[in-house]
Amino acid sequence: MLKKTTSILLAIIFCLTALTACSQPSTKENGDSNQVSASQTSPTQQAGYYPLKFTVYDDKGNEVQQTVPEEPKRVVVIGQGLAELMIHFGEKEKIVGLAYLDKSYSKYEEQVEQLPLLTDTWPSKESVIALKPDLIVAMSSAFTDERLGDISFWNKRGIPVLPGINYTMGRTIDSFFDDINNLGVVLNMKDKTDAFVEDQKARIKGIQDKASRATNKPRVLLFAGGQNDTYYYYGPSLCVIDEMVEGAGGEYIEVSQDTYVEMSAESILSINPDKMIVTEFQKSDSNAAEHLLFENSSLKNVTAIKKGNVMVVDYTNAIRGSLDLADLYEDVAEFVHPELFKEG
Amino acid sequence: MVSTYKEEQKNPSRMFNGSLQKRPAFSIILAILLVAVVMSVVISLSIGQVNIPFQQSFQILVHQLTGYQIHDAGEQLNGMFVDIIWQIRFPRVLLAMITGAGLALCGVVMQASVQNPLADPYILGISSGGVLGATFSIMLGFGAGGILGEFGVASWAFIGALIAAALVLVLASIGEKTSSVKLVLAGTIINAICSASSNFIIYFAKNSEGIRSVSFWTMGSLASAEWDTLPLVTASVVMATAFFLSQSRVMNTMLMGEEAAITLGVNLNFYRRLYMVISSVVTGVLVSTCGIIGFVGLIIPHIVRGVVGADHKRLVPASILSGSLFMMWTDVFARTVIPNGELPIGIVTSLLGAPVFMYMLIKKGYRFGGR
Repeated sequence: MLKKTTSILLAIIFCLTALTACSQPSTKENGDSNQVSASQTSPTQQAGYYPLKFTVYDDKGNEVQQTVPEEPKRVVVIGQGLAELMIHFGEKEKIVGLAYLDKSYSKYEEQVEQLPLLTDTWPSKESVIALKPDLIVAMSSAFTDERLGDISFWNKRGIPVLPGINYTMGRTIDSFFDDINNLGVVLNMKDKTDAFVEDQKARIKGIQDKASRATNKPRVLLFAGGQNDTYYYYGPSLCVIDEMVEGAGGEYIEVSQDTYVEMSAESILSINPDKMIVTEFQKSDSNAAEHLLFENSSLKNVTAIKKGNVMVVDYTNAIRGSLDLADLYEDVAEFVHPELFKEG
Repeated sequence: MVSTYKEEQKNPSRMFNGSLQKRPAFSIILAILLVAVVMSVVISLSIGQVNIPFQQSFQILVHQLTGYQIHDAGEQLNGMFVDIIWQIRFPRVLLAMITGAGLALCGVVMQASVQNPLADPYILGISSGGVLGATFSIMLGFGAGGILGEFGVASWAFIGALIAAALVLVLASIGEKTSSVKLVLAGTIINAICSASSNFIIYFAKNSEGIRSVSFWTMGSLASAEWDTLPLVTASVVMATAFFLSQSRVMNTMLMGEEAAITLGVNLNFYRRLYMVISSVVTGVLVSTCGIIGFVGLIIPHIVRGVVGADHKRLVPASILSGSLFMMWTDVFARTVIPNGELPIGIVTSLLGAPVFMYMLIKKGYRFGGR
């Protein structure tokens, strides 16, 4: 009897100590002290994951060290794209403030609207401090003096930051996946993000394998509508769709290196692309640009227009990458090489 | 434009007669302005996106400045409030105060130097020169690699501003004697060249983010205010203020024109250049700190002139204080009008300043050199 009670007591004590060890963030500096615990908590709260040290890149491309002392619970997000990632991976509850909206079509519209919105442009330092965040996830361009202040400004206040969507370093499909992986590491949900990225990469690889059988390389021009009826070409470092075109066995026409230039009817004529991809800033579901192309009599001899090879894509996804990246990749592949990718 | 004071030139003795009899009244105005500036600092500290009760912000200010606690020892000051008041708002309010003073002062000096009511601190091409320097640095990546350390963009803006001002002075003095008309025209030319060059760089820039950073320079903002940025700005404005407070006689003579100056034995050319160099340096420092905040330097001197008259003995101190007041309150507006966001202060200064000036203009009896 005595034995039994002591063993039960011992077991209870053991469980309690294990539990307290898990609920208290370890104050050790090194984050790789993974203790084996006898607790029954979910793996996302395993002891010793935090404090976490990681390296981020600021808007100029310099490396900055960040430390997350414990699991972030109050996250301020600047940039709708990053908020959508958090929604998608089930971390919506942690967002205490959102700023800078895309104002374009998004399938997460409803969930984004439910988030506590600070402002749809850049927020002020004060209002972010007042939310007492323990992590700021933001477009890298937010950390300038005249916006949110430098990254060190927040670190001085013990608030780590995770910059993403860095155009200075070039926008590629890999950098989109990096943003997702970083979120996975910092919010301790690598299992979810890894699964997503692997699935996307597998689908992309499938397309590339199929595309390697192509016999020709259609020349594809990106035609991006800006504000007030101006149209631009975007260089490869400013968008992700160029990689999709190339990966699907097409040639992404480089009008100029690494920059964007305004397009005129004459320049389209002189380039004479086989196919054109059209997208419109903040008007993703409109076909205005497409109509504009077809109604423009001076363009009727352009190969792409003559054959009707014009595709309208979602701006955000084509330029910055979104969670439907692989879907768009498949659509682009089908557009570039219908003979290979047409289903059925 | 320049002939506005033909009439005054005919009878210079009458020019400041009216103002001399109001001396007691003027010291009252000055005292009121001084108190208003101090009060504004304290009041505007407690206004912002985050709601901090006036009593608390006052306690924090006193505690931080003197170490003296006026609240009960029992209650703790809210750490977050202390941070916001002391690290964010206070440097910003001080920067607004100093910038406003500096711009108004340089406005007064420039208007006197080129004898033109349309002159402002940026008339010598300083604004566009500063923007060109900043654009150059942002777009071509200078300063990012630390040629001039962490303040790369600001240093480039300062250099750009000074080069532009120097070019204007050189351009205006080629050939015959420098005249105020030639200065204004040279300023216009350099402004055009610098703006075009900036636009050229922007148009062919490869990152759209850089362009947004450039717009900060063209619209002005005090959001970058920090304790580290204050000493340089403060030192330059204070020194310039001290100097120009002693120069009222010369500036009064300037407004009477060349002939009167020669009669009175004042070397206008020398003083004009000296003043321009000093105010160019001050304006350059201001531009490199908070971008281009338009209209303040143009309008404050005119408004103050309408109240205290054209005598620089009164105009200089009154303009400095009014500029501070105006800037502090426009900044309060700029940082509170958009919920949780910011409006560039350059927009606000023009929107609020223009109607006031319009009223002054419509009011009878206002003249640039007037009584």
